Amino acid sequence: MKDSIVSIYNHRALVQALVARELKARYRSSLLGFLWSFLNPLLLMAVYATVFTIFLRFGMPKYASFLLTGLLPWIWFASSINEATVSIVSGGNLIKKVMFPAEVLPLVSVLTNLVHYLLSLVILIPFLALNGAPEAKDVLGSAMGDVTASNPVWLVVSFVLLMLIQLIFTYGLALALSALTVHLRDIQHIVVNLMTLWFFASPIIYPVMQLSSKQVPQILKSLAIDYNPMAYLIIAHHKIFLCRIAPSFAELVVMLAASLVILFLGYLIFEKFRDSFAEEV
Amino acid sequence: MQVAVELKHVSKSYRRFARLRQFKTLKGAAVRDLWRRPPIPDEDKFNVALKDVSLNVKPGVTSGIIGLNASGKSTLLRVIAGITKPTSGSVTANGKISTLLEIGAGFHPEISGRENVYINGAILGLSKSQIREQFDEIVAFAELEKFIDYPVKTYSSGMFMRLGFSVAVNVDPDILLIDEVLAVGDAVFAQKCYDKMYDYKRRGKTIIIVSHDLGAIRRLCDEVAWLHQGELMEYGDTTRVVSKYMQEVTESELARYAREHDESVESMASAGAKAVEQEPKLPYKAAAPSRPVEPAQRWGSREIEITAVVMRNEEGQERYVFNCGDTVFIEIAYVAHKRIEKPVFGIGIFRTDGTWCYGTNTMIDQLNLESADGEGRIVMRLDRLALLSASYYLDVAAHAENDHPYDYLNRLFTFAVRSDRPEMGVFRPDHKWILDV
Repeated sequence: MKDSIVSIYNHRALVQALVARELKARYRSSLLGFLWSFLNPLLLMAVYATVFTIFLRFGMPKYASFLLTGLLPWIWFASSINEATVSIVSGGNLIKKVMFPAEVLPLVSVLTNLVHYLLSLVILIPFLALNGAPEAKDVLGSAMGDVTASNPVWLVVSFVLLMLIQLIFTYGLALALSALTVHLRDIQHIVVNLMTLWFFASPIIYPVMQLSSKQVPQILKSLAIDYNPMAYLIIAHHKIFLCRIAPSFAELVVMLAASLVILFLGYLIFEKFRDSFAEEV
Repeated sequence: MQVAVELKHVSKSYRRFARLRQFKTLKGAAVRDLWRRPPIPDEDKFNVALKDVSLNVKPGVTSGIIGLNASGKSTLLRVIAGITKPTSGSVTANGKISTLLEIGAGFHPEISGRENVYINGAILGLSKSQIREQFDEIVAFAELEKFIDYPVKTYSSGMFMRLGFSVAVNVDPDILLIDEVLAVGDAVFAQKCYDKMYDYKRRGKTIIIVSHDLGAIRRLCDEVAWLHQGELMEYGDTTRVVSKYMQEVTESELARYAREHDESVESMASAGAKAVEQEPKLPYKAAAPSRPVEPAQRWGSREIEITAVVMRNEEGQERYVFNCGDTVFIEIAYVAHKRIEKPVFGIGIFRTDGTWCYGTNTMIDQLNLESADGEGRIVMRLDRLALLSASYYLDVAAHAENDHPYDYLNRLFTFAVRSDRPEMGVFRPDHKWILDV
């Protein structure tokens, strides 16, 4: 594990160059170029907002703010996983023809989408300021209604920690999936569809108390909330951006520990298959 | 530092099937479990690419790796580079390794040549500042100053290769591994590539080259390793190993051409049987074909039937591979089913791309044969087979003076000419150079 971290650190110029390549290539040759990094989340939000305020109504005031807050970190996560799953298979010529640390490829997918996420925050913050946020009781349920706002500095610090946690978690999952896909290509198709299911199972388009108030079987409820790392991350985003409540220190520590466990497991799976990449891709 | 690269008893086998339960897909796994087919035996699961290869490459030595296709050459390079691990044995390399296994690895078509230089350089292990330092040199070497800010997708394939090659050779490794990409681009640029290799040699770098271009291997390499089916046959002095290899290849080629000739004789028999029912086809004196005609055609009225065609060397041994300049006999055996007045026998030599290299007959050569009756044999002696290295078709025909074909064997026979000189064109006229001072 230590070797791998050192290897990634030594190849930071490479990681940087590849992330830059992805970012530059994505919107190159399009008329609006890099503006698409801002336009994409805006348009996506417009689509969701149209669907969920006109066709399917949740009856939450300021619903668009709620939706966008959860949607953006989810897009970071989902795009990273979808791209990272095939990153080693499609980076085949690099693995085969160059001495290339394979763990860089899924990392590049995750980091590229992190950059897009950071850019989309530039949209989110003014949008929240203009549109306003829903009340805390609508977002988190009545039990959480009366918590006072946290210190703004701690709010920012906890948000940075939250991004770090999500980065670790996403990369861990990306390592495992990218390595497994080399041997079983079916996984890429399964992953795409599982991500859609995961999206609807996470409290992104509906507030978390929706699950507790409706007739949802207990087992599904705990799968969607208690055992869903993305639910913790998204609820934490809701708290920070909509309610100005920082997650507690304990919450952050637990999340960090869990994401490190995922990273370690992902790393073990990746290491197990690493030597065979050059032969199998 | 006594060795640059050391391989000790290195073996490498590839799995023929994916590791996860040897099935490439879930469907495969499911089907297998349903039908409970017997598992694949162990010996079929693996392709052995390298067998117990031990090799010491001294620093500053340029080594070539030669061998037929699928002899393990590329695997050997990959094992040395550390891209794949050997199944058993150990590999030690002292010094920074750079690989030139693929030109332009990681190039992205949408972004500019300039940005791609930085990415490709990073992939090859250069830091940003190293690339910045060498950037002008890289671009000048590639001769792409005017195009460097255009997206790579607008480059011609030659420009793409030049840029990729320039980045790769400007990485300054201790050990350079090259797989078949010694030189790219037009003749002028290719020469620059070679000069770069000589430059590496002068500076005492260790170079290992895999190539089928024996001429280049001879020019560049101090030592050569010859691999055959994963085994190291020889490692040592270039001239010695290359000529041993050539001898081996020629022998196996001889065997192949002898086999093909036997097959032609068989198909000659079967083509003959068919031809009886067919109308005599086109008169043979059609225009020279500009592209290869389907081989194995035979036509004619068969009053004279060609029964065998054999090529022999000066010693009278049957041969179908010759060296440029060899003496060759073409022996045509025939049967005339009735007395034929003034028969004409001819031959034509075509390169496999359809180029008509030579054609003549007994009438052109003013050998006026009176008649043919019963079995006979006519031999053509070529004092010097002046054709250059290539594969050729041999046409053989018997016809009347008015071109009426008795028996025409079109593209039924093949032979090859080998030459150790990289001459260009079709044939080698007798020549010498005279220095006029």
